[in-house]
Amino acid sequence: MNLQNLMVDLIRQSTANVFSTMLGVELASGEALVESGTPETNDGVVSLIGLAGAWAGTGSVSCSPALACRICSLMLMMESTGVDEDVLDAVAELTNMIVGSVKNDLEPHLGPLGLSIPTVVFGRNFRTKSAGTTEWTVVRFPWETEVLVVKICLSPSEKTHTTCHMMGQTCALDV
Amino acid sequence: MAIRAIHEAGDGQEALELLKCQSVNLVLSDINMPKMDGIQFLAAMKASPQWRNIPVVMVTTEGGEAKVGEAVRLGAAGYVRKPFTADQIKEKLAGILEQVAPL
Repeated sequence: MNLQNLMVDLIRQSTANVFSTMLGVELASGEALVESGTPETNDGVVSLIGLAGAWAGTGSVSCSPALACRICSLMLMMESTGVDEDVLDAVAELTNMIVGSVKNDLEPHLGPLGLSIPTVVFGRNFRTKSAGTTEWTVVRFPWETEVLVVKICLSPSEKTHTTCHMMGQTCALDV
Repeated sequence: MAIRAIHEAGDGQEALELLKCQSVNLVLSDINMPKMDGIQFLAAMKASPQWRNIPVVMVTTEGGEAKVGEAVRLGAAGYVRKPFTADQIKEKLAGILEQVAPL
């Protein structure tokens, strides 16, 4: 199976499962696309989490401030009206669960992967870029009147990929 | 299950400081934490004569055998994989609290 198709499937499954279990929300299946070139500008909350191992990259969850507050309200069962520390923590935890679950399901294909502590950014008109990676697998989930975006970029770590080919092995997945 | 109070800490180091001034019946700890992760925190608790008998339940997104196995080997009383429902965590904690002194 193509790695991008696999990641799309896993992002859809993981996000739906986390939303259903933690927030009691049944998400519609998201629209998938590949993002390359200059990343779009962001307005709102973006949470980033690093993946490292034989493959390395970044996972991200982004949404509007209103959606971030809604996530926090549902997760912590308290009313959130503005982006504060609780809201940023809730989005970070959501990212940890979504990307962590994708990571767990990718490990049988790609080998062990480590997960970093999430970093959350809140602001307007900013871009995020993962050094060394140009393509993101993106799934856009419509929720109420807004959109939650889950993205992952992943590529073979240079040393592992080179060693793999020097030893005449083939990559587990069609990249 | 009657809970009298819940004390929160942001990471393992903060949790160890909290344990110095609070008496607790059970600890619920994430694995992926800044400064001191859940595995290091669990090891520190189990190395302490004062805290080694307090049951520790790990909450984690890590489904891999390595992290969970390490936690169990260090003496974790159980683990809950994220995401979880409120009922799942209540059931897990009630089961563990039944085995220790009542609150």
